[in-house]
Amino acid sequence: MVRAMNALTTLPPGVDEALGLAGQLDDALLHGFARLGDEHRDRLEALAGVFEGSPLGPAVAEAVAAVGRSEFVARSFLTLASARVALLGAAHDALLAQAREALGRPSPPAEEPTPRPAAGSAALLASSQQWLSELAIAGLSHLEETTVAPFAATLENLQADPDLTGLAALLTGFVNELMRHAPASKSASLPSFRWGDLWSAAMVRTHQVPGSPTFREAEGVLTPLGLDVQAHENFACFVLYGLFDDGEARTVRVPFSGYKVDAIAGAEAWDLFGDVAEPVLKALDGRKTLRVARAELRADGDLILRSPPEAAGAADPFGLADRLTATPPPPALYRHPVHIAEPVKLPRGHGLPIATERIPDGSELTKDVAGEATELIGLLRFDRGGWRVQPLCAGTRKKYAIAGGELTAARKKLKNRSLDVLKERSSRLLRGS
Amino acid sequence: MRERASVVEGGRPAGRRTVKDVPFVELSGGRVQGVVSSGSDVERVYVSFVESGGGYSCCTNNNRPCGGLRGAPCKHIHELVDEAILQFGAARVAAYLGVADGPPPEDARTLLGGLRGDERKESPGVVFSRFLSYLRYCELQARPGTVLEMGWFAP
Repeated sequence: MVRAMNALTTLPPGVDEALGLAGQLDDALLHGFARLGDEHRDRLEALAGVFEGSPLGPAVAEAVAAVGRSEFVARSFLTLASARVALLGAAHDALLAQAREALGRPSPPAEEPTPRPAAGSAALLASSQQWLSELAIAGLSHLEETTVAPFAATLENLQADPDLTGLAALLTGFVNELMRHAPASKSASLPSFRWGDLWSAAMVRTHQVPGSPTFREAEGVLTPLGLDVQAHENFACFVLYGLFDDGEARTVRVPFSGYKVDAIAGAEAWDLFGDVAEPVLKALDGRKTLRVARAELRADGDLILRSPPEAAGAADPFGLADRLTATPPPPALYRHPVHIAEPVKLPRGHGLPIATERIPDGSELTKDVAGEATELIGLLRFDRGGWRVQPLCAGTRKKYAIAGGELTAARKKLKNRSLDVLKERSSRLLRGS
Repeated sequence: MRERASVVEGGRPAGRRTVKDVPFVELSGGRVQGVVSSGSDVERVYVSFVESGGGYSCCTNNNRPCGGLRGAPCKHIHELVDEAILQFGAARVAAYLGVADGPPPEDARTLLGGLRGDERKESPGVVFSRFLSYLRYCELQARPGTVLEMGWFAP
């Protein structure tokens, strides 16, 4: 396994170039298309050159020519965003193939759900596209609070449509982050690559409404591997990684997703997910497996719990780790190295850096615990130009440490519950006013 | 070479808020503004703000002036700013109010002590309706499943 991880020290051909080309577009995005200099134009033309002969080629060349003449139409920005998404998508595919070859693990096929017609949301999506174009024209390094504030009404409408949850959660986080950095002229450094990611991902998602993955009903035993916590001020997506055995064992994601207010964070955010979540947290605390019934097993690797699972026997994630499988890749439009989360078991001395940016405050599985582990189950991630590992489960001399194992104890210490208080305030004030 | 990072730390709250006392606080339009619960009457809330430069205001949501304003920010405004510091961190709150010099103030008293401004008379309507749209987040429905896009937002 150490040798397998050594195979990851050299990146597959083309990945570094793809990331570099994306960076060229990010420079223009930061600088603002309304004030491009010759050096920016040259770099955009070089970007167009890379797409020559590909299906996107003519559109990218036309978009680069148009913005070069200071003709700013939303379609050009959509095309430029698509070019960046295509570059990162190709990097995703190459990196995932590298990881799976190193692990000797076959890749399951991707499902491409048919996008739904935009119908009622068409105006909303066009409005989002327009605002993203304006951001690009003005340039993110010239960002002011007033650049962002006018988008609030559109954003509220996006959030109200559950079919657009992905785009709305993304844009809400992006808007919050832009507000944190406004005025950008006073910020010491701006996360240009990240903002290029967020801007282009949002832009391509204004083009269509995602379809739904297929699923079947399933029951079986789930062995928790650890929790992946993703959240910004107004949305939480907690993903329990696990090994699900319904006769055949496979890696699954058990997701808990929902909107929230900024004041509800950390352990308290689990209040959003009620009865179904509680046994999951208890199982993490007690190192137990869960018996799951009438769940929705989706083709994309999600296992959706529809009712509270029941605690079963003692969990042995390390004993089962050689049964870990690859989860299916996302649909082509959504591929990006940030979505690579390949579950792996690693011995001591694996040599990969720990993805500390993904460890939540208060986690029992800290960087130090992960570093001292005799063995480690984690998610292979790619960021900052290299492979790294997000710890899920760390073998120690006694009981193993698991990401999320601390939450039940942390939740017992919470006194008044913010969600209840806010709901009470809401009913009283809406009635009273 | 500049680091090509997709996921960065940031945006974690600086501490745990007490929404019972201050259900809503935000930085908007150059102001720290929000809603503060009355200590004595459960039916009453105060709508308060303090702005860059030091101007401040506090009144009930029915636009009755706060009795605690005697030529200086009242205790509601202090509570509001203390909660803003918990939510956004002292450095960001201070910078937002234009108090960027020196070490970040440790609490509202220090921060407000460094500001000189007058009382502003304004209708509480705008802030109050922002509070109601904030509460809307508790009711919104998300599509079930992993939200792939959240992969960019580590905690």
